[in-house]
Amino acid sequence: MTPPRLPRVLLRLAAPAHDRAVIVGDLDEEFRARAARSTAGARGWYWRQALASIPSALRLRADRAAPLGDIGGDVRLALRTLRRQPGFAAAAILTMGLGAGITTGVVSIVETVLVRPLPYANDARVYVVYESDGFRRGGGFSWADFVDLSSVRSFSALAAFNGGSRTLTGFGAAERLPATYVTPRFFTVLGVTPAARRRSWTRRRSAGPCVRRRRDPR
Amino acid sequence: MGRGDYLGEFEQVVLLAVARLDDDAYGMRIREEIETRAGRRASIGAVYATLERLVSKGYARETDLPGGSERSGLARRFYAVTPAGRTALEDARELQARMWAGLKLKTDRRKP
Repeated sequence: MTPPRLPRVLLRLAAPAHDRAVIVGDLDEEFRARAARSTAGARGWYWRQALASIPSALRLRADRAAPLGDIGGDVRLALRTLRRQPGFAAAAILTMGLGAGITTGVVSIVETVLVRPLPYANDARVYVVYESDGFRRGGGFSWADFVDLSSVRSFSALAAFNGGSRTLTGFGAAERLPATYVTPRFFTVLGVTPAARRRSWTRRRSAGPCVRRRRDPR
Repeated sequence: MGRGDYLGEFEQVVLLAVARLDDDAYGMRIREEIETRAGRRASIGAVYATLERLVSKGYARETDLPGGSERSGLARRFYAVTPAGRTALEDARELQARMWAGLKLKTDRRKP
């Protein structure tokens, strides 16, 4: 025995997807039980049930479509559960805390390394140039090559640098400090102003590489 | 019981039907239990809307199981009363008992 098709279709349309099968299944099951006694009575009963259920099914659909509609009830339920199960509460809070901390750390690193612009005025125009030949890939320049490259007009300015460290003496105990050797136009290329500048830089420009101690930014 | 945690009248009826049916509490049986025991007509849609509220309040939990050929293979959703639901039912019964204690309703003495 098959239930009446039209009320069944109407109820299926009204009910939310999450409840559609169970609601219609219940009606079908009771319909078959009633149809064993009286087919006409079962059909009439099915029609009445389906039509009377449509308003509730539509309300149910609206409730399910608005998950934040009862957020107050959700918060109360969460607080009640946490109060009654302190172990679960501690584990949940610890998990959320770790998750938030790790996420914040990863986002901070990605933002600093990949997203945030470099702190130079010319950050969009500054490039690092490497030299490659048959033996080396991505190596630094010799001074002679740098001088040759400086005459190429493709670059508006060119500067060289080399990392290292130097020992500071004459101010109490000797101290090993990080230092970077740069050519005179280094700060011009970056578009930044150094905290201190030695006056003899420009005069020594043609004599070869210039060495400048970098101060800690304290 | 906090504000908003109370059981509505029909919610109580449905939750009590779930508790009475125990392992056999699914939509059709709950609706039948309400009709036969409470003498109230209820549509299957209204029963499910109420059950959904009870689940969202934490008073009942639901489990879907596959259905047989008697229901076209459609799933059955079984319900059970949670500890919070039992507490809410007992609170509602105690509230009613306190309000009824020692009360005798007076007949209307006004003449028509």
